[in-house]
Amino acid sequence: MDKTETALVKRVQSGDLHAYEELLDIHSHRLRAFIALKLPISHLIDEIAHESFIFAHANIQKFDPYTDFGKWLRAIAFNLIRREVQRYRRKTMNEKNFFEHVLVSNEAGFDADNDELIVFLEECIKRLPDNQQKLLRLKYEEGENSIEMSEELGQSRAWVRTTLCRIRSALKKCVESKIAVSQRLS
Amino acid sequence: MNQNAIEGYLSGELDDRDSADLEQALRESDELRVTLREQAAFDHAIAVLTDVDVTKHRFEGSVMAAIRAKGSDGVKRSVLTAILDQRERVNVVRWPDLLKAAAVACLFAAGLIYLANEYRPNGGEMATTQAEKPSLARVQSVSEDAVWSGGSEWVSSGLLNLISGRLGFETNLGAYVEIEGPAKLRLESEGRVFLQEGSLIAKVPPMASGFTVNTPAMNVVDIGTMFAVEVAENGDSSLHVIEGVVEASSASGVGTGRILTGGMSVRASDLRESDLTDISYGGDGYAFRLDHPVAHTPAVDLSFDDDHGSGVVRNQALSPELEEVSIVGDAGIDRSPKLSRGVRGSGLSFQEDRSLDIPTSLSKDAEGLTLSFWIRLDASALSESQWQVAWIDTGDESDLRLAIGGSDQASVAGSIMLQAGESSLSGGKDIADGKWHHLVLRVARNPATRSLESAHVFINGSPERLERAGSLSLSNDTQALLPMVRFGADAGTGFRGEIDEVKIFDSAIPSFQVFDIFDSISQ
Repeated sequence: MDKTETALVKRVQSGDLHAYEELLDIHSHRLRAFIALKLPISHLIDEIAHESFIFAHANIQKFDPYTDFGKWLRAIAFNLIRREVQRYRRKTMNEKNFFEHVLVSNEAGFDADNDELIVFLEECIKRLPDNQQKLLRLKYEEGENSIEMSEELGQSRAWVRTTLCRIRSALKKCVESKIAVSQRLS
Repeated sequence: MNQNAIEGYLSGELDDRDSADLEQALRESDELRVTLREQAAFDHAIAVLTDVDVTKHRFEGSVMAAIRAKGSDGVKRSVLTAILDQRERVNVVRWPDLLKAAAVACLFAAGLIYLANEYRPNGGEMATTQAEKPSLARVQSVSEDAVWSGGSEWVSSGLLNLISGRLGFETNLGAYVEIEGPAKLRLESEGRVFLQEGSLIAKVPPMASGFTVNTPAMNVVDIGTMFAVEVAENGDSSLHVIEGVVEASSASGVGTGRILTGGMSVRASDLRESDLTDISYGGDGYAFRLDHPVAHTPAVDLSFDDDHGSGVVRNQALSPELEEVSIVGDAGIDRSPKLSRGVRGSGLSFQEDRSLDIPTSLSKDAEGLTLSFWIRLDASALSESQWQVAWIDTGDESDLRLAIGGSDQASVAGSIMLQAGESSLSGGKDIADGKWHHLVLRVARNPATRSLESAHVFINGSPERLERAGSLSLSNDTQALLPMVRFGADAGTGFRGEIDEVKIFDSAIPSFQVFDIFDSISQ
């Protein structure tokens, strides 16, 4: 944990809420992305992240400021995710929540506690070719649908959808290879 | 199944037929389910990482608002309880609701007033104080030797201190809990209590599944069962599952829950411990000793099934003077409802200018009123103006009215409004959707003063949270309760739709019976 975060945690422990806002700013993106990979259900991602930050603040006095705050957050989130997964698995699979059951019941094989998971994903996204980065930007930043993207890129709608799937598959392989290298080196 | 379909499914672009085809393929293929899951995970993660700042800032704003709003109530509470409290009590600071960022500060400053789901008239004056504390449960029975910090039949959120004896209460969700003194129990919501000290035994019917007991050391979530919990003075907590299934976890919030079935007992003794300790089963030492809530008999019971073209429907209840009710009122056949298809058998069809008066002939000493009926509203006809569904003549100026809010009145068009005089409470669920819904209005009267004490609305067996939409006041001159119930209105302000299976009780029926009535038809 760098000195800046250590200082921020100490300030929070002394009651400084502004310091916690700074910690939020540092960690909210990556924590939410971490949760998204583990439990990709839209309405739960921010809710679990929200609860994780609340829990962390409520327990900040128990946290050692010289250790990794982000790792602690992910551990809290992971426990909350497991709780949600258990709840979902108890429910009957039906038409209404079939999609969510599929998402909960087929977990990806990522190591849940891999601290570098999101960093690797960010690196892999940056390494994508320009045309693929453009496609991601149109979908995720501009919020365009497949018809709009196909018109802008001069491609068919099927091409747009298929390419998006392939990009995500490529990102998964990229992240997995980085994790493997990281584990060999550690 | 190709990637084209998966991306279309994830982005919500597939039509119903293609979605159904993909879902069928998902059921048949493990490999496809894994693929879809991986695609969804990266789809969401990329979306977060490429998020524009405005969304990120909203999220962070919601967290800080929740932290700033958090207060201490002087009771030792688990951290997880605090989180749950944030989730339930303060909907306004949960993430999805923070999208209405501008409203947050005002909403939270107003506090629970927005969550009031009842009014309590008070001496003919503004009943604002009581309105901020909705009643969450009804004390069903107490032992003769009971000494407790209360005395009111209907209890709101807060600490219930039972010094000695036993006390049984039913929450609005239908969970029945009996506590043995000395005990300190904090009623936190219709579905959750915090047992600070003492013991309880709970029976939780299916409609209240999820009922939660928090203790300083443990969280117990019912999945449909009967269980007992005991908390020592130092917070050590024991759970005994007598029947069914519960999920229990340490209050440390870092352990995962354990599923326990009948005949199992566990203990949690230290907040820093994430695991529960198995102990020998002690459930045999716990039993209900007070009277459980029982189902009431309706005074009026109209199914509209045996009209035989005469315009008269037979009342199934036992009141001799109410054996038959004419569906053609004094205003004539053009202002009366027509027989139509009901939720079961026949029902009555209404237009905005049609009404039906049902004399109830209830005693002035009636302890309350419950009005239960099924309704289907014509969604296409709802406009800016509200629809009056039922008018209850209480014998004074404070007549009660159930209405459906138009786009101008209700926070959600098509939601329930409960009105008394100029007072108004508004729900959040749109029921003007062309489907049958079960509605219950339950009103209790203080046996000593005979003034109206509390009112609840249930939709499809579940309590509806009502928000204040205006000032709340109600006279306590309501000495004559319920001479008559009118469905619809004769001045063009009624509703367009159908009703069926009308039941009127001269009492506030227990919550489990509300669900049973709903369940008997919905099945």
